[in-house]
Amino acid sequence: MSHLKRHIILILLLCSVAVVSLAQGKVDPKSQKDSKLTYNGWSAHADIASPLMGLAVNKGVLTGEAGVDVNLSNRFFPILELGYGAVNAQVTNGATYSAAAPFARLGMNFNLLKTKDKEGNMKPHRNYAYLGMRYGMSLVNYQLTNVPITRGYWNENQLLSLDGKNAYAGWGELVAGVRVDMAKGFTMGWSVRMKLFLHTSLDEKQLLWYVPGYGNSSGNTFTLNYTLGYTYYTQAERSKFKK
Amino acid sequence: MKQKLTYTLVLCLLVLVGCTASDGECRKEKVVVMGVSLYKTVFDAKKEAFVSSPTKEKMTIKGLNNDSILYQEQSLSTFNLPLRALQSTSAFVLQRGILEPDTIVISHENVNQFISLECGCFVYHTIKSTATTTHQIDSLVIENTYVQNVPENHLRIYYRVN
Repeated sequence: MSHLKRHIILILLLCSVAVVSLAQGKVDPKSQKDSKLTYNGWSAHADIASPLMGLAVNKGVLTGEAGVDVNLSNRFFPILELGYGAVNAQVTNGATYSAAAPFARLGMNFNLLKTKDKEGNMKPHRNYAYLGMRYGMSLVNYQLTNVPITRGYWNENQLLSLDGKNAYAGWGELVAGVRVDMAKGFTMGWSVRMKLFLHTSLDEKQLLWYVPGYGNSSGNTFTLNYTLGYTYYTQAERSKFKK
Repeated sequence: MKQKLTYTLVLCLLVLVGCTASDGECRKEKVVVMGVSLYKTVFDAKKEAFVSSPTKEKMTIKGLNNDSILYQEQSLSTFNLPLRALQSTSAFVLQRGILEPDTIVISHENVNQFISLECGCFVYHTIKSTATTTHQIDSLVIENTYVQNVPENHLRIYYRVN
């Protein structure tokens, strides 16, 4: 599928989430005045989709990641995600790529749903749709082996090996997703990410064929996350649930 | 509403994720060749000077010490020659019609350029110098020293007019 087609699908997806949030109704002007951020809790989640996708689809890729976010006014969710990925792949020409690296992402989720009721009071917050941004980074140790050089007419063939340590890779992500409180703070979430490779410490970006936490560096990548975790609500937040 | 939204997201995401899988094939132009064009030099009586113009000749071309023929008695004004990837000198035998063949020698530097895991390493060249026998060929002129995987002309061969 072309990049354009993928971009169109993602934009439609993001728009659908935004439209749902707008359909929640206009924000009370009174509530807009109240701009003070309040701490409402934190949440810790582990991603289930990445390791399962590695086992089922991307054989040779194993990734695990988890994240912690903080709830500010039920609207802003600063988030830190940490993970570790390892890849060992071979392509049709016989060349292999292996890499293993920890990765981290820093960013923010924005709750798209209304956070206050008609009276301007904070609404109980358990489920929400969000858009988010991330900056991801990784220090990759990679190894390329059996990379072919061929010049058919002269019957010249050679296999090269290349490797490198601590190659820095940085990328940006746009995230759209939902999070649902299933019971007593145990939450699950779905999210999709469009990733854009930004920079690397290497002169030849293509040497980092696959970056843990990002994916194949030859273009934009899309990934799916399904998270399970626990959300801690502050006493004030919990009291709203009982009303 | 929440359920619908979740299902929509899941469906879209599965489609997107499914579309990102690499098929392991190289999509880049793999051919790295030196482009050559043929010229002839004639004496223009009006201008009272030698002038050069492109020419088309019936050519048979092969690499020196290589049995495989690149072009067999083909009418050519331009053609491509594959330089050696693992050696710094490439030589070719060029025969115009049934006339005595010439041998051209290209000295070049090779640079390995890793393209991708799927494409492997391409070898690009920088032409350093050329030499030729002069049975039919008058001279060689380097037009462009850098040989990559893009169609360009790198060398002009000037033939004498018989």
